Amino acid sequence: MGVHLIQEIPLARVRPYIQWKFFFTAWRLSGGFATLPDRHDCPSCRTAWMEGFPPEERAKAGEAWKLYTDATQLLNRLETLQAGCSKAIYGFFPANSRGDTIRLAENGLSLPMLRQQTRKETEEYKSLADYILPESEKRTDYIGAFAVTAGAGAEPLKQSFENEGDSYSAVLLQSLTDRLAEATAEYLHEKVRRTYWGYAPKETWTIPELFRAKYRGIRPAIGYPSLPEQLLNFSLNELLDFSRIGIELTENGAMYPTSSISGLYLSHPLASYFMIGPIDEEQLSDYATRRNLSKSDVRRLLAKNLQ
Amino acid sequence: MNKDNFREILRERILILDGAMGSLIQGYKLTEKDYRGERFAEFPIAQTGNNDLLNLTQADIIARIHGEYLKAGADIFSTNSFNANAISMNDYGMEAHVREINLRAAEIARNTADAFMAENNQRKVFVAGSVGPTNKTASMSPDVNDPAFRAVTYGDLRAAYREQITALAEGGIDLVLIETVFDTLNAKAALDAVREVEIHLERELPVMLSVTLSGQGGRTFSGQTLEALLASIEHAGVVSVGLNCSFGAADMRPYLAALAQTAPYFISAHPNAGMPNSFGTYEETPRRMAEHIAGFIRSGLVNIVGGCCGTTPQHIAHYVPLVVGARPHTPPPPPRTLRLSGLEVLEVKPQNRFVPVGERCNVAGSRKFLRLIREKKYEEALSIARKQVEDGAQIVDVNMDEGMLHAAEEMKTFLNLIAAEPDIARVPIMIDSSKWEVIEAGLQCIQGKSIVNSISLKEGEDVFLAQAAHLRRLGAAVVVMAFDEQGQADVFERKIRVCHRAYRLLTEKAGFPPQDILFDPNVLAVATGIEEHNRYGLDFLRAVEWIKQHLPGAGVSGGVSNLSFSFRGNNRVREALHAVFLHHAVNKGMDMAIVNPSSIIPCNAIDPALRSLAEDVVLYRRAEAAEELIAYAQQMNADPAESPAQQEAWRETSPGQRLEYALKKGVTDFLEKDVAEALQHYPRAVDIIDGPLMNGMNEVGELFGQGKMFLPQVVKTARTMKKAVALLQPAIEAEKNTQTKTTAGKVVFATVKGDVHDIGKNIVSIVLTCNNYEVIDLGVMVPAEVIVRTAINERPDLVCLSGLITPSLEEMVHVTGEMQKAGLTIPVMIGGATTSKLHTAVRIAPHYNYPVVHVTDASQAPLVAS
Repeated sequence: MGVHLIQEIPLARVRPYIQWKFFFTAWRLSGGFATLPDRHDCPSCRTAWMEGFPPEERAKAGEAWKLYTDATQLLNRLETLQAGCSKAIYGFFPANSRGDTIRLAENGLSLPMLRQQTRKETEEYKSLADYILPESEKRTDYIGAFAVTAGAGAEPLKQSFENEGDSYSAVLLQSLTDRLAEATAEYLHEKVRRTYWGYAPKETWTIPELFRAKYRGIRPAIGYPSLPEQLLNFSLNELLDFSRIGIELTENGAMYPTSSISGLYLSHPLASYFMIGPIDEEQLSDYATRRNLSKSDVRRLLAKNLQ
Repeated sequence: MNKDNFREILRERILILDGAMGSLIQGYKLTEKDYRGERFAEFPIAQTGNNDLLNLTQADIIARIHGEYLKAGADIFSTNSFNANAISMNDYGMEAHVREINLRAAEIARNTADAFMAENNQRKVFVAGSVGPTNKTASMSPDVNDPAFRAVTYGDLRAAYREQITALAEGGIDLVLIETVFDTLNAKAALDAVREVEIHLERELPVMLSVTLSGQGGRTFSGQTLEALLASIEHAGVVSVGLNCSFGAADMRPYLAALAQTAPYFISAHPNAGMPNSFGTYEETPRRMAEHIAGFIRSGLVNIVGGCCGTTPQHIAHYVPLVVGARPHTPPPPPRTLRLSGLEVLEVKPQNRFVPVGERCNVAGSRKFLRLIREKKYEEALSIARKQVEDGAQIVDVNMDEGMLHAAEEMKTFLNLIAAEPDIARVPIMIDSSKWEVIEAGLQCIQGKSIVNSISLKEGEDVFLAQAAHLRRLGAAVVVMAFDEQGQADVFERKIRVCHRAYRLLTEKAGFPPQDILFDPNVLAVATGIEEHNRYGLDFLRAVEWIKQHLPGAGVSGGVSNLSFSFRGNNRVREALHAVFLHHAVNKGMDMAIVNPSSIIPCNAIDPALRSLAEDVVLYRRAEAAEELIAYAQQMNADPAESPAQQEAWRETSPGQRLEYALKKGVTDFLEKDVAEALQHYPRAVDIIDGPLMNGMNEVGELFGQGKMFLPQVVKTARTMKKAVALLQPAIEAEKNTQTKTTAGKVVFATVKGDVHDIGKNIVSIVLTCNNYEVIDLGVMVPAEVIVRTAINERPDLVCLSGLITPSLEEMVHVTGEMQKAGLTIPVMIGGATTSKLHTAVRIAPHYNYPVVHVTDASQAPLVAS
């Protein structure tokens, strides 16, 4: 129970969890090039990889190769300089749901959740609150919360690139720290499931399986489709105190440094990721009440769900 | 006590080491007078803090502290000699008394131990001689302006340690505790000194080696990972490795667990009592600390537990119940593969195919490198090393044997400089020399485990064995050339006979583990015109196969370039021969090859006809093949074809063309030179920008729009442009009458208030720069007023707003509303993960009378912008 802090997760631990597909798409090179990192690191294997693409794609594959080589070298450099460490803070709290709100009684915190409304065949309208035992069951359930940040130690290096006018390396570094933040979240989630929370101690998924979310439980992140309301970040901050790992929040709940992620841990066996999608006026009104915000505030915060 | 005795005890039970000496001494509140005693009352330098001196001036106190730890339950306790070496004692001016201090420290401990055991004859206790790291580092320069400088050398350290350890041994210690290691090179000198003392005093001194890690990332202060450090000390036969100081027990755990998993030694841990608080005191209580230690023991991680800074006899007493009946850690078996190291470890496993060793830092093999060293242009010489590592070399070979150079000095200088460059120092070094003093000088500069190229039976068995023993003592792996008293082994039968003989000598008489031996069966030149030489390729390959089959554990290495010596000047043929040769040699089991990593090409990239011919030569499939290859090479020189020459051909064009090319390829290496030349050719600096630079940029922008060039290239081009413009800046200022260059337009970028995400915005602004837009980037969290004010003052053609989180949508609506109120007519472009065409059209656009457009993708931006 309680809040735990990890001040330094070395880059080497987190690196295997990088999902390279998203790195390549950030650079507008198709995710199909993500097979490159699996290739053996020698010229003949890489040439063979390139030849696996149709002729019109080979130039692009060549660029992807160069980019990945630069990325690897920058990561190696960060590792050697011991500048690429991630930080994490997480905690587990007793919780129960009351209607669509998750209540952390000991902390006096209420996390109102939204529910899907779009008509579907399955007639199943999900809400994250469904994954926490209702108060009426008279048994305590638990919820986790986390925040991770990557690359804070790389700031001086980024500055020196910018001072030298090396925009390529600066953007490369930024795109890598974004990936490292995600990788840290993935790494931490595995540790949470197996050890820190320990609800799946015998779990042995491979990394590709982790990317397909085969594990039990989910880690919905603030601002993402199942948890779209950005200001909930302030509630998480109350629970965890992001400043302990150097994360600041803007007035609209964005996190700085940008390579940071925060969210919840839910361990329910049937928990899965989903999109809230559009909601109607009635839910908007109800949510505003539970959230203790004005309807116009909520309209602004959930603009995407009201289109 | 000898090493086997100690190991046996460690197999039976977990031992307890004592706690801190320093914190207890503090409790006595000794004054300067107390430290000096009568003897040093007149000594010119202050002695407060010189705890080791107390062995001479306050022996009772030291004996009492030892006694308290023994009573508390310590099985091993260490002498009060942590800083008692000539180097650290220099701070107090006490170098002359080092021997006496150590002798007394050991005697006090010995007497206390013997007295204790006489009264408690159930307990067996051991005296460990504490050997600290000194206060200087052999791997790093204290002077940031002179990276090759060292405040202390391996030789200095070994001498100081020899003095200390001899005195401790004579005073009666049972074992040596080399602790708080923060620089592996210092530790290697200490281990070397232990060996010297063992030989001199004719007794064994078991060693416990304990490392301290720097806060971040689990490396030593000098930058090595624990795995790399283990490789560096593999030769020394220590009994235990462990961690001390640096952290409290809780934080130490993950590193200890990693060590316990792979290190083939017993494991020790003596952490601090937590981390120091703001007053500098260590706060963890005995009970709390014992909980953590109990955790180590329960997980089977340790064999010896103790305490470092802040611990007291109470802390140690709490360990006693924890070790009763506890299962000691069982060390895993030692690795059977070759492990070399720089700052990081390199394991040479069969799965690696082969390990490329970079060959370019060789004064005999590279005229360029020789020139750089002769001219003392070390920065450039270092970039050669760096580039090899970037191109895939996993080891760097360094050779300074040249008549005009002072080889040993240059070797030291270069290796010391490498040590300051983490991207090069991360890989192991191959020290290449035929002279003993150069090899020794080199090995004494490197923290990691290196490989020496080479030794041989050229001067007979005795010299060979002496050299091997010495290398083993210094902890290096070795390349053995197939050379004996009769000369170089050229044919297959000679090669295998020489290698076999060397193998037996090294493994049976010199104590070399087979995995640390690599045979080089001599790569000799083929197709030289001399018939006998044509089988050299084949003989080498057969020798590789034989060695891997008959000399178990040993590896094979070879310098590939020798093979194609006859074809110097003809890179295509050389590369073809190398590629084919490597392919076959690796299939036969060659482990390591000394190559130019940037010019290795895969076999299937060679023209099939040339490949076939090269194979015929290398494998000696057809007797005529050599002649044919020579003829082919000569005919090639007649019509100079493509590839390596073409790459350099662009350097022959005019400066304007070179700049255009540089921009297209995103190459910055020659910018300074080319810009300077261009300034001679063009009337004004702005003409260079408007001309070749813009041409290059526009072409890139167009090709990107067509999907023929890609984002990484665009960003590299932008970087080149930036650098070129920066180089031209002084010239532009000088030409004051010039107007700013004509651009396609001016664009303002901002991530809106409350939002910080900017990578997308950064990329789009770079793309627009490449399409000849002038970009003003206001950054992140930009309030509407600033955007509006900038728009009014700068009159851009376009304003671009970016946002990631949902609330930013509303903010964008607000910004456009403010622009409307201010009477602006500038079109607005909207982007960012949270935005959408729908929202832009329905929510933002209505607030503004002028175009508001949404873009999903950087590549759309220029199109939309125009």
